[in-house]
Amino acid sequence: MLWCVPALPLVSFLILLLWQSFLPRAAQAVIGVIFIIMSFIVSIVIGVGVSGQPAYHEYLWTWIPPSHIGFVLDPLSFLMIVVITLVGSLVAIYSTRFMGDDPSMGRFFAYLNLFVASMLVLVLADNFLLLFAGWEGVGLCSYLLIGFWYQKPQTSKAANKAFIMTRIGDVFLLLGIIYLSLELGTVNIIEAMSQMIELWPPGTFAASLIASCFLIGAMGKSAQVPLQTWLPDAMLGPTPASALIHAATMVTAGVYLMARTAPLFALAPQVQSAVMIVGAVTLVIGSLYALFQSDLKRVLAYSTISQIGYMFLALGAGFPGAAMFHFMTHAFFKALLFLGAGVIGEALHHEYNMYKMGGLRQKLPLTYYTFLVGSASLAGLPLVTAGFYSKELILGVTYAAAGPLFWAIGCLGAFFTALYVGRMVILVFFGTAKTEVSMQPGWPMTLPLVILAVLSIFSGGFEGRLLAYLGGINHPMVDYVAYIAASAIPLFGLLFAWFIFHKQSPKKARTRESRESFDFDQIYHFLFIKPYVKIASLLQSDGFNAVYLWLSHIIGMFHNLLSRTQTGRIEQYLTVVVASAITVIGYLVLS
Amino acid sequence: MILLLLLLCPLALGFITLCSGRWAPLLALCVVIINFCEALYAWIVGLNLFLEPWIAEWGVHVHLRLDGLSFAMITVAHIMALSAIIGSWAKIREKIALFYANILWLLAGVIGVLLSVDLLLFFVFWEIMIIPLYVSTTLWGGAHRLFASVQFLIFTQVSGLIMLLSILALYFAHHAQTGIFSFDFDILAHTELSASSELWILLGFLAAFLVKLPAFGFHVWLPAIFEASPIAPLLVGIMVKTGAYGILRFAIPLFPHACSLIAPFMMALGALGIIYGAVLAFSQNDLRKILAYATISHMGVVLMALFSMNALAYNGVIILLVTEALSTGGLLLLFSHLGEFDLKNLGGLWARVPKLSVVGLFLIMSSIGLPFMGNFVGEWLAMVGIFSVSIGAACIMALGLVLSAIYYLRLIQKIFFGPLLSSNSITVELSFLQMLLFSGLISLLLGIGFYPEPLLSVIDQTNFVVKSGSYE
Repeated sequence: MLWCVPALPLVSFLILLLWQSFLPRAAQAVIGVIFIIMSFIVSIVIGVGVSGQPAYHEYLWTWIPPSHIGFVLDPLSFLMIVVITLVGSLVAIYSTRFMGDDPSMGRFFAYLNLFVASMLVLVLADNFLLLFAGWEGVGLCSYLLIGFWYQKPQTSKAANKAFIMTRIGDVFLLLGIIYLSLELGTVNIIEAMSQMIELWPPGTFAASLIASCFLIGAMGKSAQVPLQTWLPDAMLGPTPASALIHAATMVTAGVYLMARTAPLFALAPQVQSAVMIVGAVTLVIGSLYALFQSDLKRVLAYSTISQIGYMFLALGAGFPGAAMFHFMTHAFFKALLFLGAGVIGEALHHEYNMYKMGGLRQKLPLTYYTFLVGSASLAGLPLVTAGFYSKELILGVTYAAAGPLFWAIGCLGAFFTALYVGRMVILVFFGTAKTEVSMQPGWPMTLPLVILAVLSIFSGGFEGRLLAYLGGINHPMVDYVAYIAASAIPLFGLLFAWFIFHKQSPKKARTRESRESFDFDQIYHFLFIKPYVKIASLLQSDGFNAVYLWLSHIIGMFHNLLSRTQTGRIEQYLTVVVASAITVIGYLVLS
Repeated sequence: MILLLLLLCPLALGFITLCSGRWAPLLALCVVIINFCEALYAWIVGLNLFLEPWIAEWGVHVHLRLDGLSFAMITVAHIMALSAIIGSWAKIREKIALFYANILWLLAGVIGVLLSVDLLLFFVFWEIMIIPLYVSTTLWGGAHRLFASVQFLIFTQVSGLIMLLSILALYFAHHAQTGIFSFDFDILAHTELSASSELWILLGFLAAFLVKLPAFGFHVWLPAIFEASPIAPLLVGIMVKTGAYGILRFAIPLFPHACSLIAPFMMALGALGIIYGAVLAFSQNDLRKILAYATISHMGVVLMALFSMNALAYNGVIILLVTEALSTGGLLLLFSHLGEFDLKNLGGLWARVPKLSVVGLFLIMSSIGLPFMGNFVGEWLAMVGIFSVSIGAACIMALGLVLSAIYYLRLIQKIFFGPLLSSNSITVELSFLQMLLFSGLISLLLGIGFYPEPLLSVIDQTNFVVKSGSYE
């Protein structure tokens, strides 16, 4: 029965791919939505049915020996599939209206379903090879969705960038999996984890190497510094696709992988601290970049990078439960923010520049309130939002595991987060209106917003139950001063934002944009892309052609030399014959 | 007997096709299908041996054997022949009959290469295989067809002659040892050779196989002939693969010690091929040349896996040969359908020919090595095999995976995506027959990708002559 969970969206994908031209548009939309919802229901039913058991296995058939197509449902994967299918369903419902006028809506729903199916395969896989298959499938779908409006040259560039940058991480993951399978003789995840705990003492070289490979793979997919640059460009795809990429699928794959292989990382302390450093650097850099964007979706993209940085921080601290909790709350509020941004963009004729917005508080009231809830949750407004509880937990475990330095970095990030959230909300909803609102969202768009807003507030309440369910870690005891200080930081940040951005003229703000000029993109362009293109253009004519031509020239010269002796004149031939005869006879006589 | 029939049927019916005029394509199609049924019958029933003396006093026999490896590759040969026939259905307008007869003769030559156990017989078919390709390129080829076909002929003939010298050296060495004249592989495999003579004879064999593969440095004929040949899918689908087949079937079992001696150099050659092919594929602007260099890059992986000398990598190689033939052959077929090969004149085709674009996207993604799409199975097995020998080599293969994504995505971007160019006039969507053909190719790739077990069990029935533990 478990196989139905990924198979249902796959069926929908196949129907939409093969019979798209025979189906009316309404039917395409219904098929695109209904299979994901069914998958959600099946997940819940199975999850409730097997609750109490530690893990539920299902084998289908042998794939590449020794791996097989097999799924496992345990608390971690159950949490993942519920969030994926829930957010996936809401995004799909939303898309029926958002993509309703697009001529290739059927194609969009096909990709969307394949995306969800791949992600479900990834999280349900019971062996690394199948996990890798889902991992690549997710990459393919994000490529297709980012490049969905393929006529624009920038979108296919952004799609290529996403695919290639994540591919770099992917091959590291692949190498890690191969090394692991050769060392342990199994690719089954649970078996491998229990074997390595028995066989390897902490700090073993093999464990460090494999963990490093996995880390690089996760950094690629989860857009961590320095492999983050593809994510902001991925905004060129349809907004619901972005919501899915950022909230439920794709970028959370790396977090899932590391949570799944937490025992491996525990055996490699150096890599564990590297995870923490990556997370800390990313969360600060991501939130700083978010502060200087003018495009609403790019703000949200950098905010995702930064929030995933928090999850990495928790993973590096050795508390995957905290990371998964933040994953859940983040999925809800980030999906909410993206869908809200989509409503705004639709209402303003595909305008996403925040300096051209403003005053939307009265024009789009429902969107405003839900967006506000999402923003508050992202900023971590104390006590009332889910984001607060999950971020507090991460800061708490970081303090407990790594001391005040990383905690302070986390708090700094939280401050910047509140700052850019405040700026975003003020620029979009307050001030004077600069663009006319052309339409109001219909119920397929508002319903998901409301549901996600409710979840963004109340999912924080599951903290204790969720942590117990995932594996029994409790909220670590934290210094109360630190706890209160960390809780107050978002408030300070929001207040600060109000004072800075409240009365700022757009002109002054726009000059700020130029500060983004020094960028990772340019460094990569200079270090990798330019030299590669240069080398390729130097080699273009394939030098071996010249080598062989030269060789044939030499042979041709000999040919000319020899053919010149064939003059056709008898006296010359006779001279040569006589001369050589004399030479030979002379040689024989003398020797 | 049926093995001989398998061989003679396309050869003889090729002559009948020659006289059939307008009906040649249909007849050729039927011959290929019937012949494949014969092969299938022989495989299922287990009629997998044929041995008759040919020139008995020289020790030459018509010794044919069908095992897992040859059956898998013969299947691919038939599929590619079928594709070539359907692909050129309405395109060839002059000397139609000769064209299709050529395809049949090429098929016969390839089947002969894949079935021969006798080395002289193998050499004869190795040479026969070249002629139809040469003829078809000179008669129906595209730009620079004379240069390309002569270059091809010289490369393959010269290297083939070097192989013949090696075969003769082995033949006489065996006679000096035992007093028996024989070209039979099963008998020659038991020849004891000194280390240096083993090495020299091996190098002679490798000359032919590396040129056919083609390995880095021996590759210049491939892009040229890809550009010129009208039956390039057949070429990449099966002829190129006979190089790898030769190494696997003859070079490694006959000369295991010399092979392990030069294995590091061969792996380095493979690595160079991977990187060089990938960079060159990125720099080209002609679709066929891009695919040619991509093939060189893929064959680098094959060479590396072959000389990592372990059973897992061999399985990976065989699967790669099959899936790569299907995916790259399919792509060539698709592009030849476009009729326009310059990237500058293409773009935005998705809007105009969506079916063709979906097929192209699938085949390219399969070539990039996405799981469940065919090539991944072989890549994984090859990579595990290579990794267990050398981590550095596996890292280069991994780098090749990234680079292949770069040049293939460039291809997608330039052909299918972007704004539709007003200058391009391509409006030909795939016909029903072609759609059927491509659906077949795609289903095969998906089948191998999702459930490689049947193919693996066919490969398991490969009959290697083991000489001092070269195979486990």
